[in-house]
Amino acid sequence: MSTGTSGIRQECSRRYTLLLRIYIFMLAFVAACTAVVLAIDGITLGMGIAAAVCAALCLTAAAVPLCSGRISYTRTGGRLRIERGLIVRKIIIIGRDEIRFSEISRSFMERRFGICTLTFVTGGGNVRLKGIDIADGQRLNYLFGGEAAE
Amino acid sequence: MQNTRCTQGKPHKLEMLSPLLALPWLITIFCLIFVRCDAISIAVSASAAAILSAIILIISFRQAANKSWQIEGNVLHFARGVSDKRYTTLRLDRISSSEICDTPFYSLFGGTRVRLYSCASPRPVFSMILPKNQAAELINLTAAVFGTQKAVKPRYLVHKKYSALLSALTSCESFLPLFTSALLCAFGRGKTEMYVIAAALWLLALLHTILSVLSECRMSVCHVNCGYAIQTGFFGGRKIFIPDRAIIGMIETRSPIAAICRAGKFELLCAGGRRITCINWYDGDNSEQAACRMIGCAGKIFAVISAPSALRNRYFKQIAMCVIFAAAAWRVALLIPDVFQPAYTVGFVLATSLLLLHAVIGMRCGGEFGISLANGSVRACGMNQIMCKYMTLRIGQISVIKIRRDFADKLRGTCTAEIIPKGRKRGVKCRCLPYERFLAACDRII
Repeated sequence: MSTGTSGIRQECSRRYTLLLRIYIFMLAFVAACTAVVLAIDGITLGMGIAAAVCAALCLTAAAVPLCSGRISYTRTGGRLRIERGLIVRKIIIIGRDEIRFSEISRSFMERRFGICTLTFVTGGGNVRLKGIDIADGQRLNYLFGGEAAE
Repeated sequence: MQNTRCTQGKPHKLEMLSPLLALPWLITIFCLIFVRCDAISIAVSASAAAILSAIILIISFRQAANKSWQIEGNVLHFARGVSDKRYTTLRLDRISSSEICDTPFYSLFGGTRVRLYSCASPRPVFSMILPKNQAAELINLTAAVFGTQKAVKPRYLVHKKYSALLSALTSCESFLPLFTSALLCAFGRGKTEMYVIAAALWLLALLHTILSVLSECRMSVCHVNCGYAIQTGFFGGRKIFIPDRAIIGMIETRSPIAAICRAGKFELLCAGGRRITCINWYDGDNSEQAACRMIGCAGKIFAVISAPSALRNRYFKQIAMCVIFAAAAWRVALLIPDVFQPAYTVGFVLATSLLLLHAVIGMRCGGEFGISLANGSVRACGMNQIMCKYMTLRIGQISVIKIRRDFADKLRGTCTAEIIPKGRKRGVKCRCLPYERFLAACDRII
């Protein structure tokens, strides 16, 4: 079974990186507000913990491009190869014949940012591809789950 | 040559009204929990219930408005969702079974529920209430991929003259309401509410018996050109179509009463793990041949792996252990304080009777347990708790075989094997199988 990467490697959308950063900054904002409230109440230990959480979340937001940049997919003939993971690298290969059906889901924020999550349901479980452009998602859906997959 | 016909549609209005059926129950429960005697509490409870109902109605209207389906060529696309919108693409040749549900309530409003199942899971991929003409068109388009749906005479006999009687008898096996009501009468003597609850449980059991008998009379199974068409349900309103290629096997289940009468319930096992009852109360003496014919394998049996004598000894020892356990528990009962006596008595009677029933059924039916191999099929027969299960699978449709050997198995040279078909998490357990022979046969089975 050939699993070579002769296709073009494509990464997830940059808007997905922006969306992830927005989620993390929202959590950091909540942590900062908690730190302020605890500081006003004079609870030093709690304030310190909340401030540390806020700082950690801000660092995570700065490092998001490293994680989202490592998500990619490559289409080679009748197979789709999905790679993700920063420290532990995961590679998933799906054959076109193994896909039972496919699904595009778009939450409220994903619709605002023009991205989607593509899920392939196979006999061995579900495979998700997050943060891709809606046009790319529809094209992959057509190629692997729809008419062209016959 | 591809089919270029394009058809689309929206759900029936019933789709947005179905949550309304749950509303009266929600409001009643809400009021019972929170209502008190004063007017303010009643007003607050009623307002909360009204707000909750309005939210549920708005969400259900939006959900129904966002649902739609479309067929392009041989692919079905359907959309749903309010905040999280989902667009699903399903190829028609990946449908493992299709179902139409036509109850009197739906028929009153001109609607029909259509469910489509894929090979991925036992839950429906597509479930929508559609107008009758849309439902008929959708089912025709999906069936066109399988072949024609012209019905032919039923190929397999069902013992109808016994089936109603057996349905009635085995409905009593849902004896939990009867047993519970008997306990309530025994321990709640003098308390009116206990008698009321016991009477309600008896009525429930009686209603269940009547409905199951009437449903039994309405069930029919036909083998059409390329699959099975099953009609079931009390009002005959549920029609299921399964193509031959989606059938991976057959499971026959015999409850204790059915095991004594040597009759069983047949369920078709479809790709994806769905089980569909297709025949109730088939004559158990010919079940093996019937199962092989129904899944399209008619090969002669060339190997049987079983150890009936070891199995019989095992169950005999289990009966002896039950007697010893009952005697010991009776002695311990003398030491239990009076306040715990009823609960202790009920517990030990239940445990002993279940173990005894398991052993007696095992002794009665143990001669049939084991694994038999034929050309194109494998049959595994065993017992899970008190239900006898006979599973016939096409070769290559077993996903996992789990083998276990305890100390007694090692002394006897036997093992316990659980055969799990594709798409399921649990299978049939066969006990006291000759270990070496079974290991040698595993390559052929899986």
